[in-house]
Amino acid sequence: MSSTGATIDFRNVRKSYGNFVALENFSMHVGRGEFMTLLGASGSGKTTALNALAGFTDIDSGEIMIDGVSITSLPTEKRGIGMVFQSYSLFPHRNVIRNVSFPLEMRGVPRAEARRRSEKALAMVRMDALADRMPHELSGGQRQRVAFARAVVFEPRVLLMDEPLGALDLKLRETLQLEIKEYQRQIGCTVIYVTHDQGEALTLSDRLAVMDKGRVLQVGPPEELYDRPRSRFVAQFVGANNLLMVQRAHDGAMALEGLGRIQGDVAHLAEAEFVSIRPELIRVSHSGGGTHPARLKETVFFGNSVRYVLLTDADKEISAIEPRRPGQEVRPAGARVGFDLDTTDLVALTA
Amino acid sequence: MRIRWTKTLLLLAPATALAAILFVYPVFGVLTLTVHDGTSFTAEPVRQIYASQLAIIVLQRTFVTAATVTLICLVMGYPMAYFMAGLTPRRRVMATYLILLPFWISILIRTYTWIILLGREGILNKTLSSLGLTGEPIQLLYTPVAVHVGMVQILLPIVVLTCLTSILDVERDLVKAARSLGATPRQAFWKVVFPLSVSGAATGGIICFILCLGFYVTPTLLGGRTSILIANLIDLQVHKTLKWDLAAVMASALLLATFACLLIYWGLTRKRSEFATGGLAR
Repeated sequence: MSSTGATIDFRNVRKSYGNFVALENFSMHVGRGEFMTLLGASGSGKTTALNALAGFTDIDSGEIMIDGVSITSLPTEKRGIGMVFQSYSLFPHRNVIRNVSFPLEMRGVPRAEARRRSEKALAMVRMDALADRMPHELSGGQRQRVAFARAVVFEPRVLLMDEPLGALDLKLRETLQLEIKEYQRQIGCTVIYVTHDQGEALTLSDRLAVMDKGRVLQVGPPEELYDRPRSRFVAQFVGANNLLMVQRAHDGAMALEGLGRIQGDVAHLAEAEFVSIRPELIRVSHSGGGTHPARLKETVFFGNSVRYVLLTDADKEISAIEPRRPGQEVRPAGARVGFDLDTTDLVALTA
Repeated sequence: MRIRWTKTLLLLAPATALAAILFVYPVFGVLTLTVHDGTSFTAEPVRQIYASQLAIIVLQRTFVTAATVTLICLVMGYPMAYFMAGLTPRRRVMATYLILLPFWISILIRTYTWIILLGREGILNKTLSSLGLTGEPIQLLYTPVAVHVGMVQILLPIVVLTCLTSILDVERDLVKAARSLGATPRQAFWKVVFPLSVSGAATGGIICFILCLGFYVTPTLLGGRTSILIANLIDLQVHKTLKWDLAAVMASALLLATFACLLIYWGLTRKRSEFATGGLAR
């Protein structure tokens, strides 16, 4: 089972429901075989984008293209897109194998061949032993594997996944994330994956698009979005972050909210109104010292790491994460500490 | 646990007592009448009914009428329910109100209106003759046709609403899934929506059938001598001929048929609840 992924293009797509604008000037290009994730809170427009691509929602204006051909006026069944839903959506009156063979049946594939291809798809997701079970006899993870097999058995060039792991528990979610990634690599189809879970987005995607209020705020590979967020929203939505307002003194020197004047290279922050810095880039010095004095407000023990919530003398909360060696002492809340940061680690943000 | 039980018993007691006195006891009395003449057990009433052509014909007619009315209700009601399921929730509530409107009007009045519509001098006959389509007025009233029309009108809302519930029970994502997998809207309906809602529609049909079996007012007012149903015959035996034992045998036959239908109904609902767990746990 393999297919050459198709390219997908959204061009200035707009969709509104009454006064609510679900998508505004939405443009995006997804390359062949790329794993693209739409990341956003509910109501951000990510599901609307997916429904528009699948043909479940009509768009007000703009164009959607697969491999350069406009599909805007094609009905869903002619678009040849595989889709996996959060609710699994297995047909409850059909057993596993007849669920998987459904798309082949719709395409008039002869019975014997449909059976053979369905068995192959089930073997890929390791569900071939349960081919005769009914959906209600399967666990959530098993159901989603069957739904995945059903969505790819007809070798679609585009696969859409709408929060497919949202109904599963954490442990299973992590296992299935790796499986999905592996299957996609085997098949080679282009995937658009919708989720509100930033961890999932970072793990799975080749590129991800952070969405808010019907717009794309930033698109890029996971490392780029993590290392160089451009806006406050992205900085806070992708991973944990410290956000600091920039204040400028009359003499042109730069100060940060709660931290005061900062020394070092600040050329890249010239235009910034806000800066962010990741908790793991904050160096806590437990033995006194450190440029910025602070008090330990809270200590959270994670096993392999410790998270400190520091309160600067100007009452600004700074969060820091430190790897921890076995036996290393964890400082209690209330202790006086200091911390340092490299100004080159500060990321300039617009509004 | 013990307190829970006492509480449950106390809460159920009034209704149970009422049902026992007003329902179980009389029904038991009727059942006794069929095989016991007051002094000793006898098979005479059963034998008489079995030998009576009238009783057999009317019993048969009752079942055939019930089946026909149910079929008409399903054929008319399911598409109507499917249409309603596709409406926005707001409009669906409105449509439901319209469907339920006749329920607030007495069954007697609803039946009498058919006399105005179907009579020799009724609206239908007048329209037909004024259009020159018929010379003589057509005999509609006091025929089996009138009985069927009247019964369908009264029972249709029940069938529409049960069909609607079963269609709405089919997860919308299933239709979306079918479409994304290559099914046309027609295929999605026949392969997914229909098989998943048909057992629900069937339960509606069974409710309709059971209600048909006991219909009394409509055949009395709209049916002629040749279209009386079992309930009319029972009434005749009770009030006119005073043959209570024969009435009891026919009533018991009706009861038996109803129980048989209920068994099928339970079977169907069991199957449905199994399906319901097919999607997300709700």
